Amino acid sequence: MVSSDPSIWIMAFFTIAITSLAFRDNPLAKIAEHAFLAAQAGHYVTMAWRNINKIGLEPLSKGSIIMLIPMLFGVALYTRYSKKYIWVSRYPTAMMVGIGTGVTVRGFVEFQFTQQIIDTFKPLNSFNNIFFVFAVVICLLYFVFSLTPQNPSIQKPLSYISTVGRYLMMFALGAAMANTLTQRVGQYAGRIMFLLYDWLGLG
Amino acid sequence: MDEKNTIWHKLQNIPREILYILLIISMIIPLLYPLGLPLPISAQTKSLYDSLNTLKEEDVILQFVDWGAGSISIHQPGCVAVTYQAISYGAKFVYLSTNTEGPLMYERMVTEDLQSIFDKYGYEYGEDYVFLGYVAGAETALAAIASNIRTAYSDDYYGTPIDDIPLMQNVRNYADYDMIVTYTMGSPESFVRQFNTQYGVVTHVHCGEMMTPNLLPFWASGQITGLLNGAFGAAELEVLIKRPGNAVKLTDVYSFSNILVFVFLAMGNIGFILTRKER
Repeated sequence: MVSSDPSIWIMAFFTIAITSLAFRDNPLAKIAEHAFLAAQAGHYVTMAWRNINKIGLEPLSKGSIIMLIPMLFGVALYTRYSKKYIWVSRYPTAMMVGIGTGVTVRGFVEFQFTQQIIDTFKPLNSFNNIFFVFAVVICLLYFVFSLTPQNPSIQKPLSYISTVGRYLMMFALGAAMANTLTQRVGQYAGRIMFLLYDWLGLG
Repeated sequence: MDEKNTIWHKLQNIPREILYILLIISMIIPLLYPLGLPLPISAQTKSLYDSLNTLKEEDVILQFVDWGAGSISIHQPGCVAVTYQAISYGAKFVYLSTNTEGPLMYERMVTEDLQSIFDKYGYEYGEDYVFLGYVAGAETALAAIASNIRTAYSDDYYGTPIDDIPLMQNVRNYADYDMIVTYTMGSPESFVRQFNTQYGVVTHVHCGEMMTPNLLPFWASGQITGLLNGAFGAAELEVLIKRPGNAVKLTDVYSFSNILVFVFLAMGNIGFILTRKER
């Protein structure tokens, strides 16, 4: 049975309106697009204010004077809109970049570098492991640009390795691309489910 | 026949409107008439399932509700399935978010799915689960949550001071988190860096399908313990916990639409190959 809930109808309208953009640009799609952006912006501002209130203003009102420092840094960011005082905004920016980099880097080397290298050294006791090590070596060789032997008898085999490396990377990129498509289908299928089950009551 | 108007040329230039309509039809049919195609369980999902089965009573799970409206169909079933399995072992839940849409997604999930599960197991808000809300700062916030959650949150989403929440009395830092699960379309690497690499906390990731190939090396190396591959992963978990839900319904949609896309890809490529000589 078709839903009698007005909010469901509004959601269904916006779902269909934004879907129509896939076929052709039209006023309904524009309305949906602008409504979405406006709602997003409103939500972001609300969440930001809530955050400032909870983390900054509330402790400040309870006597935590130290909260003035980060709040002043936050306000200083807006001086970038003044040509005269833009230099002030560089201090909070530098602080944010510095803290962000420090926090990220402390785990980065182990997480994305050493642990991954360690895991590459697999025992060659299964087809999967052998193929894995082979693919890693071949793909790495593809990126060895400094090795340009003059001897044609070496150049030819190297070019084969390079080709195999390129194909292996293409397989990986193809898998990533296929997964991207699958994800988009999954995301949109959620809206189709909503239209069929919640709006039209066909489920 | 015009040389540029052969069937092979047409195959390469099918109007997108037709493709979209066929794609939408291919999604509608399996949703109305489910086929129940078999669903093989991946090793990544099995790892998460096995890890959930090691939970003990009073263990604390941090669940990062970091998805947005665009991926409700992917992440909500995953989070519900994880909660359902973990709750049967008596685990406690701390829900939180580093995405501004997180609070909306959490409340929707509770209304639609979780409240009935909490009621069934007699779970009380504050005693057995809590929602701390959104915190800004991305990876910096994660570092703060890992080292001392009170530096990131002073109260829960509904304004109750964190020290007045019974569940949070013994939850302070990484040593108190038995596992974390992040549901995100963004960058789950930061969660692994801050929780697993730094402190060795068991870290599970439920990501969108497009992130999975990038994350598989981290699962293979054990840095990510369980990895749910989008709605497929959620569906696999629903099958494992014997509670099929919306994610399982989506798997037929995937199969149908992927076959359609594959057919069109093949047709376009055949057309391209057969007309290559003309170029």
